[in-house]
Formats: sequence, C-alpha cells, structure tokens
Amino acid sequence: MPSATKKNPLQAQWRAEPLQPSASAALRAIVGAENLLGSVADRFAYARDRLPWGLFQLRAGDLPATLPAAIVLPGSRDELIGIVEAANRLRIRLIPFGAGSGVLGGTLPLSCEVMVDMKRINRLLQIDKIDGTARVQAGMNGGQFEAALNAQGYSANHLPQSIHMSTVGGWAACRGAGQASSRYGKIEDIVIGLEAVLPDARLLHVRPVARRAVGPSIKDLMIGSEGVFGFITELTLRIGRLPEYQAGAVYAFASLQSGLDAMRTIVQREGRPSVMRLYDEPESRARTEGIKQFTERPILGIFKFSGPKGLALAEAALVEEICMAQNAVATDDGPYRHWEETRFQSYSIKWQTAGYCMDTVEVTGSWRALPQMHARMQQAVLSLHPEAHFSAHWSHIYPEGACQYMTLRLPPMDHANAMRLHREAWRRLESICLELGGSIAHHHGVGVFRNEWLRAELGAGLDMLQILKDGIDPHNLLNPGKVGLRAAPGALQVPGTAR
Amino acid sequence: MSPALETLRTCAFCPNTCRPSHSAAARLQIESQTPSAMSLLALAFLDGRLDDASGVVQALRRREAVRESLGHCTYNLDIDAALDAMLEPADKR
Repeated sequence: MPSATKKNPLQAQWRAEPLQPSASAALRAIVGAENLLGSVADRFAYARDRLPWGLFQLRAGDLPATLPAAIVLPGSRDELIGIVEAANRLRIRLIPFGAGSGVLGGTLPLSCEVMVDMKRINRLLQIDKIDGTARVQAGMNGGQFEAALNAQGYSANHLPQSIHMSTVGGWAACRGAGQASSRYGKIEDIVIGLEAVLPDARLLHVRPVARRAVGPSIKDLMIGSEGVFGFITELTLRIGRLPEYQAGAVYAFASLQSGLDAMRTIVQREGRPSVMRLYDEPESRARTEGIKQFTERPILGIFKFSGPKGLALAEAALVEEICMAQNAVATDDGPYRHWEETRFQSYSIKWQTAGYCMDTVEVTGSWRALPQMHARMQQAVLSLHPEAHFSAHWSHIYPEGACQYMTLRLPPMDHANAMRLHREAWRRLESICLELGGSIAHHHGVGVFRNEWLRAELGAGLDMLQILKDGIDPHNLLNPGKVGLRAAPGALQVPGTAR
Repeated sequence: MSPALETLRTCAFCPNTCRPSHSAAARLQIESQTPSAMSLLALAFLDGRLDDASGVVQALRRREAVRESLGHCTYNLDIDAALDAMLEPADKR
C-alpha cells in the first residue's frame, strides 16, 4: 500500500536538526526516557498548530515549519523548572505547547526548538465555593475542566468554540475569548491569579485576588504572552453557579445597520445577555433558510439570556424593546437551537479537505467604524478573485465597539497563487483595520502570522515588549520570533517572521 | 479517492474536537497519538514523506486515543478502521 512516490521527503538538515546528545541526556534525566520523544514521526506531528496557512502547506505536501528537535513532557512544575534550567545551561530553545489549536502559528517551531507539551500537568486542584474560584493546572483540557466544574454546579463561563480542543493554560497564553464573553468577560477578566515559570527558571506568582494596585498588571504580561515571557503552569479562575434559567431569542433585522444599532444600544443601556450574535447577510442566509421573516429582514440576531430567572427575563424584555425599536421581528428559534447544538464544532474542515483556502480573521472596531469596516473589508476580499467568499459576524459586544469575525475562502487553485492571494487578503484586512482605528486581533492572538502588523498597532509599545523579553530571556530561548519579537538567528522564514 | 483515504484527509485537518474523549491520564494526551495527528502521520507515510526509519509505523500502532475517540467524533469518523484499511500491508512488515 505505501506509495513509492517521494514528495518533499524530510531530509534537509535545517528542517530536521535533532536534539544534541548532551541536551537529550539532560532532559531525559529530568522527565525519564518515556517522556522525551525524538522520533521523526513524533516531531512531525508537533510541527504544526491550526494556523490555516500551515495547513495549506501540509496539504500541498510541504511543512509549515521546521521539525522540533524533540518533545519533552514534564509531569510537574518542578520538572518544568528543571527543563528551563537545563535550557539555559545548554542553550536549548523551548516552545510551550498546549493542545495546538491556535490559528496564528504561535507554536510553530521556526528553528528546531524543543516542544514542551504541558498536557501532563493537568489537574483541577481546588474549587473554592466561598470565594467562587477554581485553581487548575495549565495543561488541563478546557472541556474536561468545564465538565468537572459543571459536575459540582459551577462554570468558568469561558466557553470558546475550541473548548474541547484547547487547554486552560492555552486560553490564557493566547488571551482568548469565549462565546459568553459579553456577560462574563474574556479570559483576562476571568483569570484572577496565576503561576508561571519565567525564562530564567524563576517562579512568578500572581496572587489570586479580586483586584490590586501595585503597578502595571504583571498578570496581563502573561495573559497573551503566547509563551514568550514564560510557561503558565497554574491559574485561578473566577467561577459562577450554573444558571438556574436559560432561554434563547432570535430576531430578524431589515439591515445590518439596524442590527448593529440594536447591539450597541443593548450594551450601552446595560443589558448583558450571555450571548449576543449578529450575522451579516451571507452568514444569516446560511442559517435562516425557510424562515419567512428573513425574506424581508435578512439580518440574523441571536441572543441567550442566563442566570437568575428574574434577571434573565428582564434582560429578554430589554432586548425585545430595543430590537422592536429597530423594526426587527422575533422569529422561530431554530437558528438559536442550531447554534447551541453546533457551538463547539469546527466548520472549516469540509472546505480545507476539498482544497479551498479558508481562514478566519477577527478584529476589533468601534461602533462608529464597524459599518465602514465591514463594507470595505468585504469589497477588499471579494475583489481578489471572482469566486472569493467573505462573510462576518459580531459576537463579542462592548459598549464601545465589537469584534468583527470574518470568514474568507478562496476556491481551489494552484498553490503559489492561492498563497499569494491569501496573504494579500490578510494584508488588506489588517491595513483597513489599522486605518479605521481598530485592533488587528481581538482574541486569536499574534503567533507568527500577524507579526507584520504589530508595529503599526503597538508603535513604541513593541519596543517595550522587546526590551522586557531581552531582559528576562537574554538568550531568546522561549518561543523566539512570536508576538512580533526577534526570531532566532537562521530561523525559518514564514509569513510574518520577525527578524 | 477511497473512503478510508478521504476519512484520513478529513481528520488530518480537524483540530481534534474529539479530544476530551481521551482520559486525562498522561500518555494518552501525547499529540502524535491524537486521531488528527495519526491521520496526518498516515498521510505523510502513504505519500512517502515519512519512511520506516522515521518511526511512523510504530507511531501508527499507538491506537489507544484513536479507539477512545470512536463515537465522539463530530463527523462520525472511524479513524481506527481507516488506518487499518490504508496501512494493513505496512503493518505486517
């Protein structure tokens, strides 16, 4: 059965440099032989995350990155500290790895780094029902963590689409946002304390307290650091009781502007439904087939109300009043039920398998900018190719603006042309976002693929991050080349790599 | 394309929505044992990009996580059966 055709065999030294024997011996002594993986096959499996560009390379028979030199699986914080000490002594570059569901290439090895798989450090340590907190190790699977809380009547209320494919540490490292964020906040609001191993192997402990005023937030240097400032090993998260009451509602709006106005008004009038979702016309059409109200009012809005029944009903009444004022109509709740049933699934697979180039881009815009942002970005993508697809929705809603979450799709075509158009689509979207005063990333992070635009958003702030990185990681050992920071000498150049 | 090959191609590009079906026990959460990674490895092997010396044949025998995922796949894929169908001759070496 195995094909005789060799397609890009993995021979090149720069892509497959293995761990030096002295480094191997040092790491093996810490974690045991069974927790140090060095076969080419294991290294191949860790040479990707879910960056769509990387997937396109794999699909074309190429690698998105180098092979990691090895994979090490620490079973405790002490073992991790030992690994980082050895890395400093032997100049081993390391990349923290959770479940690999990131979509910006944050865990791609660019210079044969050693992957540190955190999934053995995976225990729920404590639920404190008085303080309403849970203490958990970073490598615990997100879905298993939430299930363990649910079993005791609680929830962390961080419910990203990737909940089952990600770790709790990964949520924080990538500064993620869940589907109930409009009510409960993003991961930076939910994590109240953490512990991390710094690049020099010292332990950082951010006390789990409700708030502090002890200078700039050290916690926030770690949340979104994507592994460049250290390994998050443990987190304390705010938890809440499972809601006593939940209900959904669906509205049809006549125009995108009226839908956006409704969303803005709801949050500015202090409504906080647990879920608020507005879809543009292409995304609405895909979810409302056969529902007559959408013939004349083609824009779909989905809401979910949770919590004490009286509060949820009051919010539902407020939302109804505001939607009606925008001339919307309530409809069959089929789109809400469908969303509930499929909320943790992945939609891209059938397209990627069929040879399309599908990607998602999420940005933050102000209410004033969002209508123009949508129109200009739609035009920018559709003008790339006659069969290009563009659609968007808004599901993280704030009094000042919202996240615009866009889906792009290019039809099957020759690989080089597809990669050129795909990068150009990103360039156009991020440029328009910057021009209109938005943020180039709402919750997927930077990884490597967004490096190109970080300077334009952060300005001198990027120099501050590099100075901090140089100070705590002078040998650039932890995840080099990510979050806009300097790559290792000779690192593989992938789109966005910072030199 | 054979159904088994199509199954592997679908799974290889999935972000492992079945992941919680694996126990939290340590060894089962090695990335290269997840169904998606196993599918990716199988495709690379069939394509000739990973040869016997890469350890891929041994890696593809570590089926615990793949078997645990059966019935938990969003798309109702049976990766264990697809791997058997595509790799059986190689497995007998």
